Amino acid sequence: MRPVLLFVAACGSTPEKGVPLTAAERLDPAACAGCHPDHHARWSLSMHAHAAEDPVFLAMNAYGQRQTGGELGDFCVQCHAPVALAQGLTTDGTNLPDLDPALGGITCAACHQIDAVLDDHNNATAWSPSAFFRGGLDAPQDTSAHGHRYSRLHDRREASSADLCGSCHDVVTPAGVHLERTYAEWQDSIYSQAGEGLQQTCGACHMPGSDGRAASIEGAPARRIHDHAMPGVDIDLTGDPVADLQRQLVQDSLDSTVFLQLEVFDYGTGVGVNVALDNIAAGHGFPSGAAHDRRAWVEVVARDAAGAVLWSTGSVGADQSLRSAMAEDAELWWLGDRALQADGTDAHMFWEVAQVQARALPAPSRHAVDDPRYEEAHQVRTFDMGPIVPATVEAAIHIRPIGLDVLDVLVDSGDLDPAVRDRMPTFTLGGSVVSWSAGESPER
Amino acid sequence: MQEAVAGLQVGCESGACSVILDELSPEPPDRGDNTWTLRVVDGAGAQVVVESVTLSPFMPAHNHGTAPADFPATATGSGAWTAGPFDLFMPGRWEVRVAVGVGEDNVEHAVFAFCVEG
Repeated sequence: MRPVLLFVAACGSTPEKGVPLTAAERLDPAACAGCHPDHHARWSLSMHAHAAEDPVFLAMNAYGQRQTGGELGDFCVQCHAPVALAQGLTTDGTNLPDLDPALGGITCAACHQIDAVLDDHNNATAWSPSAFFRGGLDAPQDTSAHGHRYSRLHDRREASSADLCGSCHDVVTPAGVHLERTYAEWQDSIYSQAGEGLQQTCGACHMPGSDGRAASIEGAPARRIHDHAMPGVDIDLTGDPVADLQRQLVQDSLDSTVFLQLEVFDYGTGVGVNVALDNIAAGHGFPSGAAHDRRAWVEVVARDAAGAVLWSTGSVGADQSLRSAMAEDAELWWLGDRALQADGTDAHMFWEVAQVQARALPAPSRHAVDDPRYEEAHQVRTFDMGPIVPATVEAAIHIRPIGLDVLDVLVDSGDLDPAVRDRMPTFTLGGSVVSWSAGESPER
Repeated sequence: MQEAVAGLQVGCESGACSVILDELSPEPPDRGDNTWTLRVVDGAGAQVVVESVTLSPFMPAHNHGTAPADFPATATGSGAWTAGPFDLFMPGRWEVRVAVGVGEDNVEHAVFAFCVEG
């Protein structure tokens, strides 16, 4: 992330005295920071800010362009670097590291100059780089720095704001596979439904509100403003120290996502354990987005009174890929998409994918309670631990934003620095950590 | 719906007692971590001897609670019980369902309902 250069002249002490931003400045987030420092600072923590410099994205795009003989074209950059693409500065993203960082990523202008959503995937939007910025404030204060227009697409109180997010948060591959389905998952959830207290837009959860001022200009009124850090599950892997704060935001967001219940039972000749999962807080699947690359799984460990492990599943080493753990652990319960090639074998990269088998935990369903789909967000699995006498049983859910096996392919191809693999975190969902002790009811 | 502020008193479903919200942080409740301190009184306002207090946040419109679901409170002296932090992770109408253990097999229930702003 480059240092922020404040365009003080553009802001001025009063809006009337502000100098209009030039066309180039309107595309530069650093210029926005002059009057919107808090928004810029929080956006800098988001993956939107890092979308065009993320080393995994750059490596996957470079590898994919080579592997497909360039057929990927602008598939990746249409969402990862839409401004650079629209400005004709890149065609396939392979030159992004050489471009002005101001034009990479999902910048202020990338979102706030969208006029219309034309389709529900692959950034099918009408983007108009004009002197007018679109936002969700219904009575924006006049400023000479730029014009402004109210836009329902940018108003997180409006269902149509999800259409804007969904335009990039659903992805259909060049092969026609609906690979990333976050928006579709939300549409199929209770959170997309109009009605008293039901609807939660993307921004309602990922952009929490607070009382503040939208701009640091004289006379700016107190408003309900919203956070632009937008934590999900991905984190910045460039080595920037701000990733520590971003990581904490992601952790906080993940902690409440899945409700785990544990029931240990004796069946006479052995001991079993039921693990029940409910996706209670994600308005989409868990995991979502690049669910074919994400690695989420359930760990269950039974111990004796001395703490020795009697039985376990999902105990994946810190440096071990989930796929290699699955080869040793037939019972391992993982959540995500299984991506397959046309011949039915596993696909390792998205351009190889011919079909996906969804194994994520869906969001609470919009369907009626008597519809079989209603229960899909509640999943139960029974594990037979055999003839053991456990003193404790512990369970938890873990997630890696991108699987180490995916990163290994990119390291082996020479496109990814091995140090990036070492930075890939494994999150444990705090709210999913449950323990049971012999003679006690399941407890947390 | 009443705003959840310090001093708010909610009757137990049986009518035998009331639960008073003594302190809450943040006030009013907001997205993220919340911590509440409660007190239980009888119809005359006298302190009730309580064995346990458990808070269970819930969003009735979505039919989900939190993870974990229940937050046992700790007695903090002078009849006060403190629970949390519990994460009210979504804007909208929440209930904090309070289970008060007042004796063997005797659990009183009270519900605080409020909105968390987006």
